Amino acid sequence: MTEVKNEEISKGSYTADFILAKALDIGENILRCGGEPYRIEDTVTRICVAYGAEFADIFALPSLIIANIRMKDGTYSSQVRRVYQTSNNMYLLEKMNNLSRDICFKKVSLEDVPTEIENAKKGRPFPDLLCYIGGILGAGGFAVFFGGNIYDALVAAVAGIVVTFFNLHKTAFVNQMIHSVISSFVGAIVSLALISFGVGQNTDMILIGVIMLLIPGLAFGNAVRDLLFGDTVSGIIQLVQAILIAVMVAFGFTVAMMIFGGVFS
Amino acid sequence: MSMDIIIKIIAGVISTIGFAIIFKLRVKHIPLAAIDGLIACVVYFCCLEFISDDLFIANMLASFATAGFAEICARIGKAPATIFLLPGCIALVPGGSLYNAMRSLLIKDYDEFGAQLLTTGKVAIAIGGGIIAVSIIRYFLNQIKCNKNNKKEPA
Repeated sequence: MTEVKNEEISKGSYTADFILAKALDIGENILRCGGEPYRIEDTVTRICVAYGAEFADIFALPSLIIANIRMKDGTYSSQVRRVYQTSNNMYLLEKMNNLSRDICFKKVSLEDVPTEIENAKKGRPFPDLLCYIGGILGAGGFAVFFGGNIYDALVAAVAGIVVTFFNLHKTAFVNQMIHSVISSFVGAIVSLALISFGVGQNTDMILIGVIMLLIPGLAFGNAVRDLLFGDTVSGIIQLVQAILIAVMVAFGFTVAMMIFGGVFS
Repeated sequence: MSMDIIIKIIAGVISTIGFAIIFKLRVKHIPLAAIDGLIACVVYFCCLEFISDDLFIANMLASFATAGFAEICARIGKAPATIFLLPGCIALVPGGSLYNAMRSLLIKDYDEFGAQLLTTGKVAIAIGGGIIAVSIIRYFLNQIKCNKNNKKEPA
């Protein structure tokens, strides 16, 4: 029995469709949890080549993976994956990275890929509730970083909790833009309300602290990195997305500030 | 270095830890990410203090140092470098100038709006440039390593 199994695992025993489908499962999950396009191209290519593909042409965008592989026996397969929503989940990214490495070194067989992915998705580095602490530290820290005092940090932290709540329930919103407008509007309203009660003093510092949680700051950097690296299309897509989200955040903040016109002269 | 800057650096590290939690890093990677954030803040403020008060150079050097250390972290923690780079760079993100741009738009100060918007773009390009410099260096190092390995195994 074991001999038969070993033979199955050896190179060339899988169909091209099967290999590419499993490789794309991993690529799709890496894209979903915030991996860069070049990482997906690299991972999918490595897995396919490890299982006997002669040519692997993979092209990844922030929302799409196009892949075509040709095996040594002349059979080929081409598949497309569409990804609708991405978020930053470094835990899953690391798991997927390790999984793809294990697959390349034949420690994990391709049949086990779906269960491995399910297990990785079930895992959490810490309870979701701890994300609120992340929001508190992030917003409060940046309020001080940009020159606020400890009371400003307190106000920003409260707004950070609200913004984190919206971020955790991102999937409930129809699209990213509406999510950005609403979460920035509510975050700004909360902090401006607390300021008008006299808790914090420096409106600017508090709002910058809150804005840092909302703007896709690193998306700008990543977009420029992709553009300079040669991934022009994905760089442009990320840049446009980042600019749009920044505009939406600005819109939400502006509306909130207009409502609290007295505070913001 | 004045007390003010030290407080800012501590705040930067705290917010780096906060973002490390938001980005769902594994608990054992969070200290490394915090050190990465510390490097970003220290280099940034040192550049502004001692080298030049130009934001472009300060951000470029800071993101270069951060990305370089993220690569070292990747070797130590056996994880992709992005995991450490994302929270590490967060303190450099031009949120302040973006906010100022928005604020000047609201009070109809269009000159200031344009200037702040350009600053935001300039800083974003600087951060991207620093990161890309590290990737290029890593690429060449990998090439050298591959060449050596190929020479070692001629048979």
